[in-house]
Amino acid sequence: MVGILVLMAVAVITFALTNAAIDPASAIAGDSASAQDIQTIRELYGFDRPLYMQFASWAQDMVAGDFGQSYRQRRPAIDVVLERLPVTMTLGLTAFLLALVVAIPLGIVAGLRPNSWIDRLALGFAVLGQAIPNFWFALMGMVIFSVNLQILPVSGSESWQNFVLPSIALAYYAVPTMMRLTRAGIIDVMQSDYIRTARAKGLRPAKIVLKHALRNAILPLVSVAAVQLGMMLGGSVVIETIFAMQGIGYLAWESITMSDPPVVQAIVLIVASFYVLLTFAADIINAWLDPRLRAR
Amino acid sequence: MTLTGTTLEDKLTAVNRRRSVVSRYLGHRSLMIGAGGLSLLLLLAIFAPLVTWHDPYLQDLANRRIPPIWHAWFYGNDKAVWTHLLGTDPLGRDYFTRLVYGARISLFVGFSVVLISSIIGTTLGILAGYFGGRIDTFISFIVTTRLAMPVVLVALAVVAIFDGSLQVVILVLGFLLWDRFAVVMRSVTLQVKSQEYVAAAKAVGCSNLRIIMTEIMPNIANSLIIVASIEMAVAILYEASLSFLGLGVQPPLPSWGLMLAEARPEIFFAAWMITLPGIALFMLVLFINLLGDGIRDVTAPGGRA
Repeated sequence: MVGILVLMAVAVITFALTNAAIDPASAIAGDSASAQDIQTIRELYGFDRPLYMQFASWAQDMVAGDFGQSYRQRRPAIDVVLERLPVTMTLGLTAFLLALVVAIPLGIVAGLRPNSWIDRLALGFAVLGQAIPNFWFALMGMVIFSVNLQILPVSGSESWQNFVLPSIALAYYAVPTMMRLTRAGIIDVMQSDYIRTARAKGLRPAKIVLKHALRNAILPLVSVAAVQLGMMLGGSVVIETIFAMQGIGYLAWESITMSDPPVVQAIVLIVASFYVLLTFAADIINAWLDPRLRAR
Repeated sequence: MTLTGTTLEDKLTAVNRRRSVVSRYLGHRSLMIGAGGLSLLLLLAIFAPLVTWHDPYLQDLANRRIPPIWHAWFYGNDKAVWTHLLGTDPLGRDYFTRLVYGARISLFVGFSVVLISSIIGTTLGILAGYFGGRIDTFISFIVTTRLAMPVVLVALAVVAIFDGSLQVVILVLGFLLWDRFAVVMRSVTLQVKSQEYVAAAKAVGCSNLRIIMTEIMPNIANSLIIVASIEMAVAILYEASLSFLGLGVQPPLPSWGLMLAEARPEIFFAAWMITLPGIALFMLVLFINLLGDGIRDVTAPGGRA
């Protein structure tokens, strides 16, 4: 319910922003259009109506999945965006899984032995990693692997090799946060009574950690991971632009620099719905992990 | 434990406590590294004209793409000279000078954005936490809406409308990055509100405004500083990303993100042009994070997540 309200608010803000941005009629007409042409287009598309009426009809179309025509490509904006979605999805999911695979085991190991050398090493990497801007990380990866060693392509999104550097660049930035949360969760849970009981029963340490501790330890991680996944699926504008990947992040950048509001609106609303859906999913996963939360 | 502790003992523990707070700050290694490094960068930025005699905007087309001095040592490149310690960019501007002046932009963006966003976020957070009820629900709704909007996309769109400039970038980021302030200040206010001294102040008949200003504010200051350090680092990175994409600070200003964008075409010939601004950004963000982590460790040892 709240999700729908949030999406409505995002829609209003997006509409206001993109309409303040440019005169859509002159954008469609192009640079060489006369004042008469622009006026004709304005009446044709209904840009001469008051703003609230434009918003009402825009919102109505949007609910039906129609975001209007892309000014640049002269076809439905939603088609333009959907066409670019697979690349971003692949990139986002790869990066997300990569981040989880690195962060959770590292967090568990660090959390089981707080203040050991491996814990300090992991925390040190987290502090350093968090300070490296991800677009610079991507550029340096390009310098090393594409320019000097020449084993990975510089740009594009045609083959799997194109996805290696971008997904690493996208993933590493999420690792420190996820690792710290897992670590804190494990430290917390390992001191609890039921873990002591499990130990007293003589269960194997691996079973205690993986079956009993992890389930509770990753509770705080789930909601943060959901937000991270939403950000990754929303397409990283910077990473996609650097590698010229045909995803929605790069599309967003193109559409903003070449003034194509319907496409920008469609992207913002799709990304916002990812966020709303994923936070909802996180609540459900948490309720499944921790039955105590279901009562609330 | 006796109820009638001697005053001398009380005084001694008070002195010890104060001394231990100072020594906790001084004894915390990462906090001292962060504070030291950040002050060094601040001094470099403030006294930039004294640190370097070059003009960050002066183009010298006869001396373009001079490599940094270590290229003379390791690669025997005789173009590298001491007068251009870190070389020159494709327009012949001294790279070290531009990096030093770039620190001014990053730090200015960091401080101004945090100033704006902390005022917005803290106000919302305190209101939500202190009054609760419908106000809390409404403010939580605003926060969720803000979180659902992708920062980079919205910032890019706004900058595209008003044309990129330092002021626009600062305003946009300031109005976007207040969410963490609101969330953290709300939960801290909730904790403080349930303390007895707040109940006492209420019983005495203090107004809400007075309670917020004299009882709540001093007790949430630590969390405010910690969140401010996180958001400052975030703001600096966002400014660099926006400028890198060409929709942030505009040329010829020496923003580190812009320098990275200008160095991108040089990737095949002069990769050091990409390396250096990144290292500068990395160090600044690292020092701010270390400082913030350190303050959190010292003030709230249990609150590490």
